[in-house]
Amino acid sequence: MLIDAGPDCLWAGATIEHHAIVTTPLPDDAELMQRIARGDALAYRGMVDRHLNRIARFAGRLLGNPTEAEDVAQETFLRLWTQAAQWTPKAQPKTWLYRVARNLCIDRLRKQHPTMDNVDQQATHEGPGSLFQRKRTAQQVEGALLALPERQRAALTLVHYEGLAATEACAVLDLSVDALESLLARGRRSLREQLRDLAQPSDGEQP
Amino acid sequence: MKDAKPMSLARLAELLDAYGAEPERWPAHEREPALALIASDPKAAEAQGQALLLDRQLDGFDVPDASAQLRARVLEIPIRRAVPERRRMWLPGWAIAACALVPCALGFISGSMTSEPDDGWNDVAQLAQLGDISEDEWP
Repeated sequence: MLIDAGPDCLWAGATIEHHAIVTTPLPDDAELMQRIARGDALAYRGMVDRHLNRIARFAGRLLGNPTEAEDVAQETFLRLWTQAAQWTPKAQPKTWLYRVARNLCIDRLRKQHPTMDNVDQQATHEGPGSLFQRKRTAQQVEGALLALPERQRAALTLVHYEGLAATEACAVLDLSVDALESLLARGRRSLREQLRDLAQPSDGEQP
Repeated sequence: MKDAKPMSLARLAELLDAYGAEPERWPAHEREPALALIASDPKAAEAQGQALLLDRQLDGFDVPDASAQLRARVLEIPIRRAVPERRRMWLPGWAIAACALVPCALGFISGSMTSEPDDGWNDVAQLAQLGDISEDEWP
């Protein structure tokens, strides 16, 4: 029976000796990946505990559709289980997962916009009017984020929401630091423009 | 990082434009000079305040963690799917069907190669074995 030991504090592979549960620290991602490649379901659970939430949130922000985001998260972990043997220690498992999830999101975005050759041109031109019709702040921010080109949205999500270091975000997006900063700056500039009115809410509006 | 070079206002603006106002999002090696500039230059502090406004707005968009149902489905994957090593030996459906059909096909072919034409001799031989035919009845 597995023991739900939380994301990072304890390794779920506890043993019981003399009626006491002996736990060891959860191995690092690289070791878990190697174990998963050998079919170790317990190591897989360790990766789920550590990374499922972040992958689900990432997909949720990229797709703006909870059902599709859950499908992407599930598919990402299916690939983790079936393709762990293909992972090489050159890449961090965390960034590998983000890359897989992002590629799956891009596939879905392409299906939503089949006429687009490049999802980077996906910036919807709904215009501020349709965005500002939304009632709640979160919805407005979500709308503004979803209106960004996918690369800008992915960069902002990784750095702002997921707290990845610049070098990690660069590894996920396959970019140099300069290119990442340029992408982030363009994204934030666009968001600032779209959310300008939100910065000064009217008297009757909840912040 | 005591020997860090002082940061220019222009570089701080780039940093704020890209990463926002929170120092923990800035590249580690630039935090100290950036904070030193903000502490010493009111324009730098104002720029950080502007960046903070957008950060706060972005923080208003929260996305839930994975649901319990998703977590359960994801944890079931190793139960529903064979371990990777074993999985590599699996054959696709068409290959399994081919494996099943090949012996049948071989049996059919070998049967048709070894069977003799039905010219009556088989029946006669069987009757002879049973003693139901006399020698002069042989064809």
